[in-house]
This record gives sequence, C-alpha cells and structure tokens, in this order.
Amino acid sequence: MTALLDVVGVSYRVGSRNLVDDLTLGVDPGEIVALVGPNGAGKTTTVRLVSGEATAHSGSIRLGGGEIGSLNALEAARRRAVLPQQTTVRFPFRSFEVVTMGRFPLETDRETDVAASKAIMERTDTIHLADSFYPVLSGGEQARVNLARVLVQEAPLIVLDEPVSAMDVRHELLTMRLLRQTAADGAGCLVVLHDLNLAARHADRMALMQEGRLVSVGSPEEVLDAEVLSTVYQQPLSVHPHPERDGLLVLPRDS
Amino acid sequence: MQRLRWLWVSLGVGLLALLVANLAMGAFSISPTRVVAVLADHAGVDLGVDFTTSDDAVVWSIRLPRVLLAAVIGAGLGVAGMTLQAAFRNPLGETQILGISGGAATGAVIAVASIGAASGAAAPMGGVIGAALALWLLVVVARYRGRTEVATLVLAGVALAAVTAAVVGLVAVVVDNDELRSAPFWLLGALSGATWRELAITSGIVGVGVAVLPFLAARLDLLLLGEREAAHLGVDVKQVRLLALGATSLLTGAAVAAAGIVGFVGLVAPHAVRAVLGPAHRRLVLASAAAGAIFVMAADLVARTVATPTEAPLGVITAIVGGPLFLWLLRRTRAEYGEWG
Repeated sequence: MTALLDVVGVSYRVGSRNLVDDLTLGVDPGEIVALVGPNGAGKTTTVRLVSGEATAHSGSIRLGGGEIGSLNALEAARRRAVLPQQTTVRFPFRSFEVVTMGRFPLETDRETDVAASKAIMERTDTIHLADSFYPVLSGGEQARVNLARVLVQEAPLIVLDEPVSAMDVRHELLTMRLLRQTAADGAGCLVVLHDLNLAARHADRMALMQEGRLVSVGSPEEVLDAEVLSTVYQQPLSVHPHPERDGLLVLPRDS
Repeated sequence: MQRLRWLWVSLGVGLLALLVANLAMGAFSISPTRVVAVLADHAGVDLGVDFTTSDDAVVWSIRLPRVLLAAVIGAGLGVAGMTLQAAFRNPLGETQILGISGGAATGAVIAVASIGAASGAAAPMGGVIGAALALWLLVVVARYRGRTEVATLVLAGVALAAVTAAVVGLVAVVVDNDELRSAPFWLLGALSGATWRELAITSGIVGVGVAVLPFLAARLDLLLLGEREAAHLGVDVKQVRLLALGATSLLTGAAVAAAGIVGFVGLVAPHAVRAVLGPAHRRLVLASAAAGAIFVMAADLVARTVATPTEAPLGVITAIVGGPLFLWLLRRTRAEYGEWG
C-alpha cells in the first residue's frame, strides 16, 4: 500500500531558525492523523510544506508515491486538498460558487460538479447558505463552506490547518465526524488541532511537535503522557480516563 | 435567470441603438431610414429609399469605421479592466489608473516617431510593447513578498501614468512629424480620422486578446478566491497571471494606438455588469466587452455632438462618468480592506 503522504527527514529554515527540523511522518488511507503542539511548534509550516507553498531545504515529501517537486499543480491537487486556517474573499461570490471551485482539478462536467457540491453542502450543514454571499458569512460559517470546498475536491489526502478553531461545539463535532466518514471511504487526513481532547477522541494517531521537531507519534494513549505534555506545553497538565467512555481526557492543573 | 436574460437583451439593444444613432447623428444629420438604406446598399440590397452620395460617403467612409472602432476599443478596454481586477485581486484595476495606457501611448509615440506611421503597424506594435513594459514595471514596483497591496498598486500606477504622460508630451513636441498626431490626441483620446484599415488592425489584435480570456475564466475565479487557494486547487498561478497580463497588453496597446488614452472604460464596464452577473468570469468576459463597447460608443456620440462643429476629447467624456465611479469604489474598497496604513 502506497502512503498518501510520506514525509522523510524534512527540514525547513528561515534565517538560522529551524521551523521544521528533520521531520518524518506518514499518512495512510483510512486514518486521521492529528498534528498537535504549542504555538510556534511548526504545525502550520508543516502544512505549508505538504501543500507546496514552501519548499523544504532537505528531505523528501511524497504525495501518493510522487515526489512533491516533480508533480505539477494539477497533479498535486488531485492527490491532496488543503484547508488553510482562513480564506478571505473580497469579491461577492456566493457560497455555492466557492464550494464548486473545489471541483476545478477534477475536470468533470458541470452537472456532476453541481450535484457533488450540493451533496457536500448538505453534509457540512451549509446548504442553507448556498445563495448567501461568502464575504458576509460569520467566521464559523466561512470555515464550514471552505470545509465543503475542500471535501468536494475528493482528494485522497486532506490536509487541514485548524479546521474547527472558529466553530461552535456542535459544528466542531460535525466536522470531526465528517472527517471520520471521509477516512472510512479511504481518504487520509492530516489535521492540525489545538484541542488535545478533540484530537484524543477523533484521531487514530497523534503527532506531537515542539520547536520544529517531532516529540512523539502514535495512538492517543501513547502520545498523551502527562509528563511529556507538561514539558512540551510548559504548563502542568494531567491525563485522566474519560468518565463516560473509552479514551483519555487532558486537563490543565493549577501551577 | 430573468435578470440574466434582461442583461443580454439590453446589451444587444444598446449596441444596435448606439450603432444607428452614431451613424445618423452629427454635424451632418442623416435620418435612420437613410442610414439603413446605405448599409443595405453596401450589402447589395436595394430598399427603395433615396439617399445622396454624400449620405453614402458620411455613413460608409467616415462614421461606420469610427463607430465600429469605438466598439472595438471599448470592448478591449472593458475586458482589459476586468482582467486587471482579477489578476491583481483589486477592484480598482484599470488601464489608465494603473499607467498601462500611458505606457502604451509612450510606446506608440516612440514607434511612430522612429519608424513612421505609413504601414499602420508601428503604433499598435509600439503600443503593445509599451503596455507590456508598463505592466512589468508595475508588478516589480508594487509586488512585495508575493503580495500586491491595493493602495500600493494604485499609487505606483498614478506615478507611472504621470511619467508616461510627460514622455508622450515631450516626444510629441520635440519630434517634428506630421504622422505622430498631437499630444492631446494621445493623452485625451479621440476617434476622429478612423479608417477601415485602422479598424482591421485594431480589431485583429483586440480579437486575439479577448479570445484568450474565456479559457482563463475558471482560473481567474480561483485567483479571486486567493492565490494560495488557487495553487492548492491546481492552478499554475504564475502562468495564469502571465497570460492574463499578456492579453491585457494586447488589448491596451491596440486600443491606445487607435484612439489615445480613453480612461475609466475598464472600471465602468466590468463593475456595471458584475452588479448583475456577480464576480464569476464565465459570462463576465463577453458582458464586459459589450458594456465597454456601449460605453465608448455613447461617449463618442456625445464627444461628436456636444459642441458641434468642434469635437470634445473622448477621454474627457469617459472621465466625467468614470471619475465619480472611481471615487465611490475607492471609498467602498477602503471600507472593506481597512485603512491603507
């Protein structure tokens, strides 16, 4: 099985500072990998490297087996979709138009594009916003419209940079469940999350970063170690069994 | 859909009505029936309406090439403005404001001064090269860390427009050449003396420039979504921008070589049709072309008839309509984009 994403020994510097340092990480079909870590750990830089916005100084990044530098923009877009933290549009496109733009790399006919866009807008709870102008939507609504745009691209690998940070609790869970369904259909998700509990509940694997380096990677049970987390986040944290179901709960401790 | 049909119908009716009005009205007035009879006669149809040889000369040799040239440069400038707005993601993009028309005029003036106007190719060729160089300079000056800020772009354009106007004025005065035409022609715009030959050359170049854009329409939409997002979706952003700005150079160069600097068409036309069509480019190319044609045909009609027997400069008429729109857009853009800083 070819990994959807295969990052091996990647480093990226700005000046003398290593924003990403010797990173090795993979995403396989069917799994959700949560990228976590404190501010400035290199999560967004990792997303930028994987999305082709920045070029690594060393190491290799493969998308579905193909070296990222050897793929043209269209080939890359058929292998991975990217959800940036925020998309600001000043021209008055309607939400539906924004979502259908996600179909561009597939080059399917208009009818197929419209049907797929409508279906995904139902699932992202944005169909009622279809005719609204995107620029006047709230932050959370824009985030859901963009999520729909990214999912409608039907790429095997989906890279999401803090997809839920502007969403309320209901839509946060809706989004994570959607990603789970998409993964169940064979896609792989690399998702940057700030909420450790959300990651613990929904990710198959977690990758914890600190100062550009990967501290640990594995199942939530393996990564969520109170001592390690407290050091990485420079904040005492405790890890408990979840009171209502399997899984763990991370809570801040008074320092 | 109702609004859409209404738009296409009014654009069609507007084009036709302005065509007939431009042929009929002027210092020498000709009734619309005789105008139609002259046109039918040239198509080999005898409508049984009497017209004089001077009717024929005025309609066929003077006014028809002129009104068609007005339509062609209007279409070209309208589409050029639309393209600039998308390529720079800036609602204030327009050929005169950004100094690209000035670059084209400079190129045309220098080409005519050094090669001569006899072939009819020197001015358009110089115009296209001048427009391309101005665009290149604009990108170099206004682009910073992969971004083109709204205000910086416009300010760079203003400076470029001022410098190029000065060069045009200087060359037109210094070089003693009857073919060069006067500085007012270049800087204020005029369609007087339009010929079939000039029309053929101009429409050829404008045709190529406009024909490129429908192929870029979907990519220009994605560019408005964001350069980063467009790249994620498989758009080769550099290539699209290069093609779009190349087309803009052709459109602006040809239009300015034929009629001098006619400002604000690229602002008025696309914004007017966007109000109905929205920002997506699929239909916007054709609609901007039609609206631009209508605007310049109407402006030229006013320029010819407002002070007969003298003519008002064409660029003055378009600026009277376009200037206030620019101010309004400036205010709205500022409100949306925040302080210029």
